[in-house]
Amino acid sequence: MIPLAAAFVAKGMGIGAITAFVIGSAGASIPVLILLRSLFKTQMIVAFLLVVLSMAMATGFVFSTAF
Amino acid sequence: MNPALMVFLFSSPLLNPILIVLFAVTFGVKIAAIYFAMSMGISIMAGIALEMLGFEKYIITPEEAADKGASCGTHTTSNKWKKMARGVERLQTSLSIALSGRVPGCYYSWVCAYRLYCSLYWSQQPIGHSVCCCHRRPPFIPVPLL
Repeated sequence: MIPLAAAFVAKGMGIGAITAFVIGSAGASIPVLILLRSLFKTQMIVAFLLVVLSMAMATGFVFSTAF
Repeated sequence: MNPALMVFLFSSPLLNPILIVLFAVTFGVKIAAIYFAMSMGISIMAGIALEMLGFEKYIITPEEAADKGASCGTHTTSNKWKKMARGVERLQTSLSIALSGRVPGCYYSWVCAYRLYCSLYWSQQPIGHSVCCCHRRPPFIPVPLL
């Protein structure tokens, strides 16, 4: 994930979008969701997805305003 | 439910050391520190929020999982197919015993006369009718004719 992000940065992508990408891909990846499906019911998985994606967006906004 | 469980769930993929170190090396320590603080803080807040909203009822308990596994396939597959599958399984098992002396997926296996002995010490899983199975390595070398 990080080498991909580094290549994006080298091509001129904003650091906020990069951070959102890293958080979203690390937190809400399909293997993680498949694993969580055996532990949690659908409502919990939806909540997990919401939390991770909003965390990605929030961190991305913070980075793009700060840098 | 302990809120620590949800916090761990959220933060463990994001705050793994490999990711943090790579982040610090690639983008600088400052950005990595902000990333760490943001994901840690939001994870803690989300964990507490989910605990307050009562999300513990959406966790699948081991009993529920066992029920699900036990009922799986009993009403969907017809009897004929089940019989056929069991026949195939038994054929595979006997082939494997003939070739390697072991039930597939088992560490040790005996014919069923030793099932009681087996269940005294290890988890057993009867496959077909004539074989029982120990999934774990026994703590001592088993005596076949106990």
